[in-house]
Amino acid sequence: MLKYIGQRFLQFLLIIFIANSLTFLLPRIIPGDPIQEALTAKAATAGRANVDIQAWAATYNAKFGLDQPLWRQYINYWFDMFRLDFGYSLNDYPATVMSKIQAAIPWTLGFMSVAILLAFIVGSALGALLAWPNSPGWIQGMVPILMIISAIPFYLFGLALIWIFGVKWRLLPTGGAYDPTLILRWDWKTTANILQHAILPATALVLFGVGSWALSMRATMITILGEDYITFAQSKGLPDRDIFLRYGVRNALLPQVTGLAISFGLILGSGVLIESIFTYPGIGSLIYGAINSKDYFVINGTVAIMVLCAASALLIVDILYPLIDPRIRYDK
Amino acid sequence: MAKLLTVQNVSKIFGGEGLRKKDVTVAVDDVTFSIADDRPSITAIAGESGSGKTTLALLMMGQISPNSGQVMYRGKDLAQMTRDEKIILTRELQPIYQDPYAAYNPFYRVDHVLQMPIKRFGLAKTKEESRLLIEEAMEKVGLRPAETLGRFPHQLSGGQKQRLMVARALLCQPKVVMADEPVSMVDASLRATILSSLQKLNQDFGISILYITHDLTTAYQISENILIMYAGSVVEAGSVEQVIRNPKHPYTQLLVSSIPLPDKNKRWGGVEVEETQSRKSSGCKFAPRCPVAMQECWSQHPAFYLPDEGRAVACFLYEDQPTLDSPDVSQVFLT
Amino acid sequence: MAVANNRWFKNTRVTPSLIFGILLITFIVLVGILGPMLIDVKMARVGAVKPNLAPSVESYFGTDSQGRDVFTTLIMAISPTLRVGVISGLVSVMLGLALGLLSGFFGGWPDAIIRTFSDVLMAVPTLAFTILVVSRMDRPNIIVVALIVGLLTWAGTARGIRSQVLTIRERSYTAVARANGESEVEVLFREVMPNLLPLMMASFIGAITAGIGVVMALEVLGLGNNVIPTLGMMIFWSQRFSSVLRGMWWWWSPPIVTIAAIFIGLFFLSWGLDRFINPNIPVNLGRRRRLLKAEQMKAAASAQSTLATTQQAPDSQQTGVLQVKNLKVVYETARGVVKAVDDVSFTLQPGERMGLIGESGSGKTTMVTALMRLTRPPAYIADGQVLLDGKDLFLISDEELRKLRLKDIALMPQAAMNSLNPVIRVRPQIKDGFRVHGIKLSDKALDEKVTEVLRKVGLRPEVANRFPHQLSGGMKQRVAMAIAISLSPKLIIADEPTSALDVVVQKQVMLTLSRLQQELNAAVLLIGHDMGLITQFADSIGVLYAGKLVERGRVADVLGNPLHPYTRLLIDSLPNLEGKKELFGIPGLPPELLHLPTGCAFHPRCPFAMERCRQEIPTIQSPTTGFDVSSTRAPGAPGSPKSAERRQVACHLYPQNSRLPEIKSVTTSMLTYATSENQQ
Repeated sequence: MLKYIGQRFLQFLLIIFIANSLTFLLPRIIPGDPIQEALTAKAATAGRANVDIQAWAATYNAKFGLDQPLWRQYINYWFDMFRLDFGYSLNDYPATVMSKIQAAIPWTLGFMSVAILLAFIVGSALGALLAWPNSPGWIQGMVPILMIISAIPFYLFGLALIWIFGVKWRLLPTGGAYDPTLILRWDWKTTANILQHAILPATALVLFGVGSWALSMRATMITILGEDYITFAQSKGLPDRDIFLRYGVRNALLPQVTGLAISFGLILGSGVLIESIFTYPGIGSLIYGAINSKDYFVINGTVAIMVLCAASALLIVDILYPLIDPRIRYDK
Repeated sequence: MAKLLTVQNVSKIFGGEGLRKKDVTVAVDDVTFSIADDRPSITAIAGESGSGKTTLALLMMGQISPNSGQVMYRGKDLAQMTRDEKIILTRELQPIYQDPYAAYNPFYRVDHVLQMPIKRFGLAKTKEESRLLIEEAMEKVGLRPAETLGRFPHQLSGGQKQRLMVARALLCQPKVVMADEPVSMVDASLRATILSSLQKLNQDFGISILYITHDLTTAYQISENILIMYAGSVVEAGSVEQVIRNPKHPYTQLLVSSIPLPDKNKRWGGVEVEETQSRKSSGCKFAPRCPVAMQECWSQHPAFYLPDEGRAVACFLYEDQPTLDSPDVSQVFLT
Repeated sequence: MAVANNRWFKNTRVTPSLIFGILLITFIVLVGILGPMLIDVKMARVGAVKPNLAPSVESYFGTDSQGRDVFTTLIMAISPTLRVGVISGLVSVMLGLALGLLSGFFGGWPDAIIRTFSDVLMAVPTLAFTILVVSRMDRPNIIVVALIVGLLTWAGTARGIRSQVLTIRERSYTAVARANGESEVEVLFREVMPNLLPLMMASFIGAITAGIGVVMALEVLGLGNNVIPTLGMMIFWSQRFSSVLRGMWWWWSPPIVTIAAIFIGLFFLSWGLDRFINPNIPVNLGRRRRLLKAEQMKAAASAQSTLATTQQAPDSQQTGVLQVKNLKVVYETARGVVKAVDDVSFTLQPGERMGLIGESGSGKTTMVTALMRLTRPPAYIADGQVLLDGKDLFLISDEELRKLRLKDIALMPQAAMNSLNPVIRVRPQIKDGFRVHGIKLSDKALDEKVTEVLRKVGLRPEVANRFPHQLSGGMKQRVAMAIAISLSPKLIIADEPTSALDVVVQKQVMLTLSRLQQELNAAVLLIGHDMGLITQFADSIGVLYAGKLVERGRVADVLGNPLHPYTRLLIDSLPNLEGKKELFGIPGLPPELLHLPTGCAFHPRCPFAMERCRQEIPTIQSPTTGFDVSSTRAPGAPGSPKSAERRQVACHLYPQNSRLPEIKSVTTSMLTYATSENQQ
């Protein structure tokens, strides 16, 4: 067992290594000087087009160590990685990339994890019921609807929702995490405001999620309900509900939970579109803004954090899975 | 007596690459056995699952290589054969597998499996010749080409598919055919047909058959000689009349007494034995389950003793009998 | 042997999803390709028309803030969007195929390396990485972007292909190919690859979907090529100009609806393809099922009415502990309805051990599920009664039936099956039998019962704490036996309980079953295909052929004097240890239930077949008096059910003959295969 954990941890490190090396290499392979580009963009928007970009760029390069040979940069890169130091934001210097990430992460995590969890629970429950042959007709009729919902990318829902609830009926705010005029405090008013802003984006996410989770749970349950131990359980005279829960769902949960863990791993990445559409100040918006202002350090740093998050989730899944599946936990 | 196919002190171990000790399985443990060259024979290798019979057969056919020991065909070590020699080996040692459903590629019609060897082994020069060869082979096993060729595997029954496999083997003009449980997945009423076609391969076409099975009654019916395997070693060997009708090794006796015979007068005897956790024996592998195990059985490996003409037993019960002078247990086979 | 179709795949499993998906995608593709030829493309350029106009007759979808006609732009945008998806899909799938093949077929180092990279890709958020690269490009070339996406998404396909290749490698046809002289490379391309085509098609659709998704996401974020209109760009531009907030619904909704349509089409296409390819996913056969359901209800209704008129003798000596009357079970296939169990009747006395022997196509497995009313679609109980101690199992409520199960009638499942819940220990699986049948005992007392019942089947108490996968095959069967006897049932149905077990273990398990049967005085119905096993265990035997009971009687009688030709040939074909003899099996082919011969199903293979056999189906009756045992004459009367019941046969040779004639020789010339003349 210990050996198993050891192997998985090594794999985790390997993944981090390769992924981050790619994160380092890819942008640097592409021709062009990111600093210059960023500065040009910044200068253009700030209206100071006469400034000597080259000189400015040279200063930045020296500061950020980009004028050193590639291998040197690579080593420095890894040192920085360990300390989670992603440098300074090109756009909002002297703010560090890490500080911006730290400000943004709670929003993403908070909002996305609730949405994912909700979608998972409702979706899986629905999916399990859909798989039960004796469920009423109207439930079965939901399958095509769920299929359609799960096919459409959720940010498209988002746009439609903004229009219906935000513009046409003016019920809910159309963007942001909270009112710009609001001062954030730990009080009821703030919380209510935050929730109000979170409803639309969360709905878009949950709708889509419910569709996917329901369909995957249904598929797993159908396979499991065809297994021999279900027949034997029935022959024992066990009531339907018992069989459904203890023999059916209990077995179907294993792959589903794995999927959930992986979803959580990719949580930071999944929010990009939703946040950009709703101008929600999470990691997604951070990257979106950085794209527009060509703030490469922010982009790099954000991607690195995403990779770390995803790899960790995979590692945790691999370690936790034996705990829920006795077939792996106990050897013969 | 020249040897056609020999395994010499072969052992095969699975799972030994850097894993824990207890994951290692010794599938075949130092077995020496050969098939003679002068006359075609039918030899059964019998045992339960885990006995190593299939592994031994695969070793003999050259499909897997031993961890120690040699496999020799016509005197040449398989490990040292050239590419051309290997091709000849492939043609001359043909397999028939257990599962008729898995033996055919569902993408092709069944003709594919008959046409390939003709092409690859150069058995015919024209399409006409090829077709004739195929039809001949099929008729020899009692199949009607019109009803079988041109079909997809799922359109034929298990029995038909298995018989077609025998035809395929015959087509290759082999010297040895290894049949690995060829009838265990076929209906009882069709088994006899397939088994008799195997006998035909032997009697009419001079092909030696290695019949791997767990079913002693069919082994008795079609083989001349038999090896009984337990946990990777041969425990008894000899003519089927001796070994099956009058078994001397406690394991063989156990096996034979467990056969359910379709005869109310031949009742299963015996007592219920509790499923016990076995102690490990460093001597005879059967000691933990043996009702008559003696002291020495736990610490020493028995040699092959010869209590009768035409049979060898690896059991200390017969230690006062003469032993086999060389490890090749097929010496005792009656010719 | 008649064949229904001559194609590679077994049945057509075309579902509405598949058709809908194909139609929708085809429609969109056609619009995308032909559309631009039919409209004025200049209207899609910036500044071509007056901006911000609502939809009208001249401009179907209005115009956007940059002066483009939305409708025209939309039509122009479809093709590039699809193109990028197809390119990235192709790259992804080709890479996935190649790497998956390498990984699965050759194993070892290539496998380890490829799998590591595939894991890395799983951890890397595709969108983020693409952003990383594309954000540096000013005018991202659509092809380059498609390539990058393809490179990042091959992992899913590779994993699927790899696992399929591993499965195929297990199948002996690759070994047969090698024995045929094919080289490794040949085996890979000729044998393995063709079987991957279905998976490839499905993966391709998935890869296209993912490709379009990622590229669209990039465009919506503003990383697209700003010049060529694509659906994603349209959404981006509309967002840039705050079309939603400004209420310009005509600008952002058409691209969204179109995108949604594309994704929905792809989804249904892939869903339909899955069902088309994979024989394991059940396909709803709709209309036929409803018809059969109606028949089932009718059968139940008519049985209800005969219940009132027939005398139900509660005395089980008269009716036996199990009485099966005219049982008919059918199941539907895509090619027709099959009568798996066709009008079978027999009686089992209390404490009697009966064996039911049948080969493939005999219907014995279907019978087992029917007896316990566990029949599931596509199988349906079409007619008949199953009386347990006089109570008709088909007419009682679900709740009543549930109470009877395990307590009065218990199942001992096939040894090859996974009958135990893999994630729960043995103990609760034994306990829940007690719990559910109202045995209210303290936990401790229940534990003691568990130990006791395990001991009865020869297992030690600590087995209760194990998980099923930790037990050997024989031990698992004993656990199943323990559960089956735990409530001392009157009837145990043992469905091939030792089929996958070694012969030594088999005997042990059967001896235990034997002892338990005697202790409980339970009746046992042993289903199997091994005549020897049934001989050793059972008192009486029933022989099934093509869904019908063709012979019934005491084992010794049937063995010594088999009346039905099938039974006779079957017994004769069994190898034994008496001495070497000539082997002959039953010529011909096993019955194909979809195309049964006319008249007696066995006649094409029967050495004594007469003209009558081809025309008339024989009914099962006493061989001497010709008394039809399915009638309801009063018990005890001469020629009545009880006295005649011991020996029955379904063959036109009786009652004119008293035993089978000599078989001079069984030559194949006499026996015809089930050719078209003999069939319906």
